[in-house]
Amino acid sequence: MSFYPAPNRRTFLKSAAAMAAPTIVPATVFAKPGQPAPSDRVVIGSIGTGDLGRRHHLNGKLLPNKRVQVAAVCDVDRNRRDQAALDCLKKTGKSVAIYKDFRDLCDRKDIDAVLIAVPDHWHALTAIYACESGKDVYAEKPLALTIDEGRKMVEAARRYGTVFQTGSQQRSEGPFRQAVELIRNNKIGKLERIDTYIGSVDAGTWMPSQTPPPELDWNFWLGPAPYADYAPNRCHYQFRWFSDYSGGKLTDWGAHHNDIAQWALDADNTGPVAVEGTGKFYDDGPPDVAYQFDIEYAYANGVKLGCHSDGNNGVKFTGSDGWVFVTRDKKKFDASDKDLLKWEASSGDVQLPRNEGHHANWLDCIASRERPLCDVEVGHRSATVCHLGNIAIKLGRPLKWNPEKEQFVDDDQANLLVSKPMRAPWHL
Amino acid sequence: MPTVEELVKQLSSDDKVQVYKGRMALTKLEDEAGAPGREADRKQLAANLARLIDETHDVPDPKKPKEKPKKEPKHSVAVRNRLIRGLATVGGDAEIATLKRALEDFEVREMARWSLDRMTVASATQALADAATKSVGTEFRVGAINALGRKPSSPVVVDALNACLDDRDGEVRLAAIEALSNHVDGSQDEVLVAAAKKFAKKRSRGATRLARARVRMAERLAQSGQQEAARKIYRSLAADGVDSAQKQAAEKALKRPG
Repeated sequence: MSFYPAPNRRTFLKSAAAMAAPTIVPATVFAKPGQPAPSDRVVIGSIGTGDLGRRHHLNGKLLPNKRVQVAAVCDVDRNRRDQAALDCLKKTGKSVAIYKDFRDLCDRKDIDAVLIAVPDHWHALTAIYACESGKDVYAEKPLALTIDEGRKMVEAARRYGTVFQTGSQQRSEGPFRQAVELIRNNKIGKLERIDTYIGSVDAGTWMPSQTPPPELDWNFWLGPAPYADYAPNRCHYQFRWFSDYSGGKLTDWGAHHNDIAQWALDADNTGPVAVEGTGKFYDDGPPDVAYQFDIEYAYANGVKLGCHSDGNNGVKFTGSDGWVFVTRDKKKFDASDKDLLKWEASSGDVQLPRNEGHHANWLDCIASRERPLCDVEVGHRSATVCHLGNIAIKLGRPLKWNPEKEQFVDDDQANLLVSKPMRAPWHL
Repeated sequence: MPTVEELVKQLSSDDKVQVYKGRMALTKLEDEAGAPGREADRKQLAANLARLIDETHDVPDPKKPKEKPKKEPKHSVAVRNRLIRGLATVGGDAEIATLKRALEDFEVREMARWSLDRMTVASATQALADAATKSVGTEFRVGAINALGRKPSSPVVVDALNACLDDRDGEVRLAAIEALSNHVDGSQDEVLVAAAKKFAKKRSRGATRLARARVRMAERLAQSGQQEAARKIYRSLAADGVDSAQKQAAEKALKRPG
């Protein structure tokens, strides 16, 4: 019996090309100057081609990337998948396959990897199916709708050796890495607390239930979520404000800034041990997620993490000797000691990985088979922080959390909220 | 704090905002009643929810005025669904009878199944086992089977799932195979393979689903210390070649020490 792993399409093509071609054949046979050989390109399927999937990932990151060949697009909204396919045709001159069902895309053997940008309640189902199909995965944050779904995604990725990048891309952005290196190197003394400021939720308006538009398969869109009548403001971007599909702003942006907090705490395999919080809900709806919140987490090392809807968007670290504030706007990177803003880690210091961008890091890891910067466990633990906050707000009582067992301590009802049943036929 | 009866009136409103307010207030009641140390409140609330779910009223047939009026559910489908959902986090043994009745009602049975899925009492598992083996409707039964796949292993679960392996409905059989793979028992693998051979072509999505279920089962066996049973499945998958991803996963697992 062979113990060598079976080659995937890319490694097979590479080795087959090497075996078939004498070494005197120039590399230019396989690659145009300045471009990777076709056999080195990662063939990608894009699952979820709404605003984020199409604008940011497909048009912004995948189609311009010479290391990538987009082979297929998929969405339950016909207009969105067709528009994405048109984008591919216009930008590359090549047509791509179009799917409504992500399983059909994942079943294709010639696709190496998938980029998943679907609503949160679909993250686990699509990503696990992709892992089980032997695909590498880039999945948007928050990693999952529940803590249990996140854990199952980690298990699936490990089972299949998936290179899994979570879309908490701030880790690949300079100021955040720099800020975390300052903390890890004790440049503000002993870290005492972190505060994340992540923004609020618009109330929106009530819209009458109506027949779904013909281009949208509403039942498929709902998938594992309990049935609900269609209304335009339950769908697409605004799904974020309904707890059957998402955790609101707390998971939407918390998966970015709380992820940075976890990074600074070197807590990528663990999490807080206690959480309590308060949240406000709109009196008249329609969102049923907290629009305003203040959550306080405690970590085993004594550091406190506050997560707030109000305040200037960003992450503030407070230590015994000073503070650092970081946000996406580089001009707002600030510290109690301005010299810290120019500090760069050097040999002997804790240095965090540099990369050429979050997608590039994923592609590099697909080639090397290493774990990417925001591996699935990282994404799961960061999303867990956010879920814990939502559960604490919902239950209105302080909770103790065991990050090893991923269970609440002495609170049966809270433990029921670690997972969520799915509507048939969907299951993990 | 409003009573559940008052909230049901709000939930029955034609005004979406009133319904929303009722839904949010009921959620708050459920969350507070489920707190540790408030067992009496939880039981009281659950009993109230169950009573309202079961509540009926007389509906006379205008064509047959002399006949006894029919008993119909007093509250709308939407209201009952919301009340049933509440039992998922506050319900216990005492509410299973209500949920079993709800499982018989096509209009609310999916939400009853959903709530039983989340509940942890053994009587909820028994109700799901009955739904999986005795009810009608592919999707509904698959939902009950999936829920059994999430429950802790027990004779009730395993017996019900095994019974579904011989069902005439292929989707039910496939769902039972997947659910059984969550329940660690090395001897079960041969049963799954035999069941799958009856209906899945070697290169079909059904065959791939079976292979994935076996990979999961082998992993759970290995995690529970049944290394040899796990390796037997991995070796079979590695040799089988039904699906390259499963073959790779099996080979990867076989390379692990132990």
